[in-house]
Amino acid sequence: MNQEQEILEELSQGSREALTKIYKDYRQPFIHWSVSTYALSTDDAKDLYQTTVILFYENVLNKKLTTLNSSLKTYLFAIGKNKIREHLRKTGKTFIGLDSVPDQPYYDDILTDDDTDKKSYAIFKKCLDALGDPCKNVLVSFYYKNFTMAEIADAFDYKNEATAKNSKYKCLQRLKACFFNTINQSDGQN
Amino acid sequence: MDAREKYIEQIDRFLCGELSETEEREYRLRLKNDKAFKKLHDEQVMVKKGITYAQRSELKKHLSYVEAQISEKDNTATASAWSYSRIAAGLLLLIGIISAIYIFSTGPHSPGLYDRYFSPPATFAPLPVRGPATPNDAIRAYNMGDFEEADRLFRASIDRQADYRVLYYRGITNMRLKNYGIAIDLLQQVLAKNNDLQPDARWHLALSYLVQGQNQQVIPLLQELATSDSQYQSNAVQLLEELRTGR
Repeated sequence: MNQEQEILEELSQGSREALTKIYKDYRQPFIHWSVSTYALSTDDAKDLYQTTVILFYENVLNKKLTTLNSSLKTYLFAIGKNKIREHLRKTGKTFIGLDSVPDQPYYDDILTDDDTDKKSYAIFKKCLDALGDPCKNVLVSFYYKNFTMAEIADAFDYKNEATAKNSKYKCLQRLKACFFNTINQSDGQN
Repeated sequence: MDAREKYIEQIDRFLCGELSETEEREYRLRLKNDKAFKKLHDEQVMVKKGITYAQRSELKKHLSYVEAQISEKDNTATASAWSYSRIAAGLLLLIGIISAIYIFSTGPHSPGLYDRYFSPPATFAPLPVRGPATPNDAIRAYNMGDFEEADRLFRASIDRQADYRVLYYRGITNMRLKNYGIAIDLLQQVLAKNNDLQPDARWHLALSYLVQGQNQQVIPLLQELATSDSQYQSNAVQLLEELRTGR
């Protein structure tokens, strides 16, 4: 297994160390490329690079990317290109020029920029944090890291898959109760 | 498993794209005709989006922290390059490096810091295991304060129960016994596997390195905790600051 494939494996296990390594390895070339090709400010370039790295990570977790047909850098920059163009569209800027980064398919973002949604997400985050461990980690492992219930049972030391499922269901109910109660209370106050 | 739980499982499978073509067709039909099912579906969509949002916020926070460290390094390098007197800058840098080595390598204050931050659990809860030579005998010894016996029993049970909790408990026991080398080895094994004790293992591993004077190993572990939502977050920030300022 080559080094890039190895790092992909580590990412698929949810390794934050691997994520940090990728961030550091391609940061300078990405900023240089996005500033010189798209005339972005350095701050915008850094911000978009962070989003790009996170989306790359999610591609691996969602198993949309399991093997690399091109280099890791090409894949990363292709995501970056889409994010930069999206940013330019939103800020009313146009890009006239050429870049050599090929298009690569990547999955659509499930989150929107809608302000109402953002308010709900913030409440949701508070409720998720309030769950504590292992509840929070179990839900994150299932819904974000895409671990199977068998993997969760193994990682969190549940007796078997059925016990893990039951625990996940209880955690989910607690999360939903907190979220919908808070939403209803804040709606009542408005 | 009740009906609601079954529905949630089905919705999760749909959201992960795991339903067969026929199942998906039936699912969509139900979504159209069954209001209660549609409500449950919408709630699950919200759960997935909410968790994604929460995780992205955490990752963004982590990467911003990494970015700040890189930028700080870059700025220091740039400032040095354009310094009025390169010789003076060189000397300052040398002093800085010597100070850093002094603070981060030898750490003469480390035992004091360690004592202030090391607060091991007074007791461990029994584990849900049965059979001979279980870790619960060791837990009983630990809870009674007999750490040497606890370590012996943990060691005997590890072969049978290669469980990360046993490794973690034995790591803490060895910290109590001041066997930091063994503690480091055990806590590293806990960290190598995805589990709910990772923040605890990371924190105690950092402290074990600290008391050994291996401060270069301490920093990344504390930085990781400082950007996490774990119970050790504020202690990690504080300890990092104390190491930085040499207080």
